[in-house]
Amino acid sequence: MEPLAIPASRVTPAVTFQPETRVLEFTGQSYPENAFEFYNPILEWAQKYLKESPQDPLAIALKLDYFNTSSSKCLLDLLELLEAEHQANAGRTLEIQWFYKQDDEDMEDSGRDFAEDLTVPFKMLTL
Amino acid sequence: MPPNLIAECADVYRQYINLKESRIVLLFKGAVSQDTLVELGSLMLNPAKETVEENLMRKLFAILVEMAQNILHYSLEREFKAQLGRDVGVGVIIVEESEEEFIISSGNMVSGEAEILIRERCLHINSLSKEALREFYLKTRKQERSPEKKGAGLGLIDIARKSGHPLQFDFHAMEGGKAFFSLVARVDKVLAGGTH
Repeated sequence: MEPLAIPASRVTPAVTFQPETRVLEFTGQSYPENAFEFYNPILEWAQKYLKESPQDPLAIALKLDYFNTSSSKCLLDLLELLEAEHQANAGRTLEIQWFYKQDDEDMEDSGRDFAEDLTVPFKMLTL
Repeated sequence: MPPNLIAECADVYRQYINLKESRIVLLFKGAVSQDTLVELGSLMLNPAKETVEENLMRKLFAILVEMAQNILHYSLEREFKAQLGRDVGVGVIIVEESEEEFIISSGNMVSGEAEILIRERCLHINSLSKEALREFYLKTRKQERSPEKKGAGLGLIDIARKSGHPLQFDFHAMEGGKAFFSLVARVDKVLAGGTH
């Protein structure tokens, strides 16, 4: 797969994928006017990666300070792609890394909310 | 100076005194584009940075964004933006600050059908405990999104969760079956410690 490098804007996070580390990383804030428009290409990229590199591991690292509710829906769609792959292919190394600032209770709670319905490994990490 | 100009200058002074004596820290009426929303966020947060704790600022910002994006997407009153080549919603946003709390309010025009749906949702949200509200949020987020909608239907739930108080809302009947929807979210300055 090609590396992915979407630069951050004032209202959207930087999104990167390094083929060496196999980490799909989100950094920054997410509250675009149309979250689906922003996230759909990333969802398509992830779908393609999971299908076309069936042996390769994938970690999704979320280092977000803030996301609005429609971004939250899109993030769930993304994490559910990983979950579906985990259910179908338990041997594959897949992981979600949820980063939050030590004192950011809302972001910590958001991570727990996402983790609740997922069986794919989900790590809570402080920044 | 012509008398009408003197009157207008007196108005400016009166407006200044009124605002000075009010608790209003931010007041905006007009077309809410995404860029405007970003600026409103900075205008609200920059003066608060000195005195307001970060967890509280994040809650205020989240409420402001959800309210502003509701106006942007759903206000029935629209204004065409030539730079964008499309229209955005028009509404009002007010942020007030007192000793004990911040109050963020929004207002915009909605259709009669929207009024019924919004009223139902606000009443349901207000009937739920904190834990039930969390479950309602997660359940709603899991639902398939309808392709014609730009949002996920989560905004009001999120505003209520961040506020920690029931939503205050009202519909003022307008001509042609339309209504002006007012929404008020209060946020305590001293947040309930750790267990919100």
